[in-house]
Amino acid sequence: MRLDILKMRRKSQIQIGETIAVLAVFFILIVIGFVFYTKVFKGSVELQREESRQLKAVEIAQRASFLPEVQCSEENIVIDNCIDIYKLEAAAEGTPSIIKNNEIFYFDRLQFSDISIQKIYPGSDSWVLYNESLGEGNFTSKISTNIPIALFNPAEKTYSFGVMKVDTFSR
Amino acid sequence: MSKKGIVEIQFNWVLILAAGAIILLFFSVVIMKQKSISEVSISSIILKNLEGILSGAEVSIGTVNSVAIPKTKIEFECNRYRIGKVSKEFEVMSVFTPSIIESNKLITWTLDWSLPYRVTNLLYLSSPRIRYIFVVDSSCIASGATCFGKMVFNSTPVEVRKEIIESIGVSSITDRGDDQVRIISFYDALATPSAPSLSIPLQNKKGVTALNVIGDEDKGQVNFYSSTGTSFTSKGVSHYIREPALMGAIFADDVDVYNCVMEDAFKKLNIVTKIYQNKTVALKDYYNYSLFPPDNTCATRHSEVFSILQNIQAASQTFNLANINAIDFEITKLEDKNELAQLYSCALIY
Repeated sequence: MRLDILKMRRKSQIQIGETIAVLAVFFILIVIGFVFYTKVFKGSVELQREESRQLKAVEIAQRASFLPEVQCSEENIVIDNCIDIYKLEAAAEGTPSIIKNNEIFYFDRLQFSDISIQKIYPGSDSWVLYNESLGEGNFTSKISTNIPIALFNPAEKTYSFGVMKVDTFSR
Repeated sequence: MSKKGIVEIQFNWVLILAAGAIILLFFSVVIMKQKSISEVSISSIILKNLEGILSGAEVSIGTVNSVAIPKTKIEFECNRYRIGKVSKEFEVMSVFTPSIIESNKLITWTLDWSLPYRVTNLLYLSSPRIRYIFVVDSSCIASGATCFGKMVFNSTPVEVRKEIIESIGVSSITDRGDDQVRIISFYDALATPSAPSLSIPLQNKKGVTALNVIGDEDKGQVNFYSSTGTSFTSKGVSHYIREPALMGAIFADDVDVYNCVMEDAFKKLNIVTKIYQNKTVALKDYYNYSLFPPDNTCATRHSEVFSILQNIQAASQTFNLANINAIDFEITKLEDKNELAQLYSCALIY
């Protein structure tokens, strides 16, 4: 009789143990699955973030190269990829420059970026049109875009070769 | 023995139920969280892609794009737009939009706003689910006849669902089940103190708005109306300068949004004018001091322009009727000066 009771107890203990073991294995599998899913999700978020940064850089570069403030025009007919030197100097020079004086207005459009224009030939010169760059250690990525442009001098009616450099920063 | 067996079996069932409940709860929580994350993520993706679409459209002047988007409700304000709980600030310059777009297609259209030099590009958003009805004088409908209303109708892109009717036909406008109906009247019936009743099919229909235009292609007044069941009530009066701004009033169904975008455009006009002011001073100095002998003719051309630009700059501080009139007056003078500069082979002003 006592032996029977002991056998029964052992049997139920084994059954409870089995159930607990099954549950433990089940939860371990869920945890493994969850960890795996989180890793994959994190990877995809990082990928999307990078894509987003690149898209933003392209948008800002596009906006910068089509700024009516500095674009060349003849009788209000705008010439693409051409910068009027007189307009550029009017916008970028002076303390503070017109662009710097309206930095909140431009920040909404150009954000953390650095837009500079370099004259390459004939001669060399450079202008900083917009500078809201982030210092070393304050950004996680920096994307540079170089856009070949023509620089037009309306007084002398001459063109020069130049490059518009757009650096876009992300925190 | 049998009693213990019953207890043991019951205990097993309780354990199974408890474990089952925990598992169900766990998965329910995961699914709920995942659902909300996925909704936010989809909204963010659409907003991000929309920003790219708008940025591309902004620089392509005169072009109309019909872009397929996932069917979703996009709410627009002056400087922000929202899908569900996710909102984003416009990064593009000046966008005229209806308050709500709920469609799987987005129509974008861009025009340049020049006074008389290029100030900014104005971007207009719409959808094929918005119907635009242009109401013009009966005499204007006749073939060959030209009037301002017909001209504006013809300027609006064909991708937009538009139709033109004569003023006496307003009462017979039928409901075609559109999400929004925008009535643009170039006939001053809507301007009278007692605004006319809506046509019976449009009565009590949501999303019916009207705009009354009193002016010409240079400048004028725009009265915004919204329907209140059976008639229109005025939502406010504003003004426009040049046709692209009028198009803004047509595409934006809210007077506050229109005014806000125009204020932004005026701010840009102020900045661009300052740049032109500095440019003319530099050109005047070039003709006076960099050439030997100095070119007094061209120097005079550019020095004359400075005061005109100064007046435009002063008038662009605020968007209001007085400033619109002042700018319009100066534009004509500036156009003449530019022509004169061309005649004397000087550098053009703009």
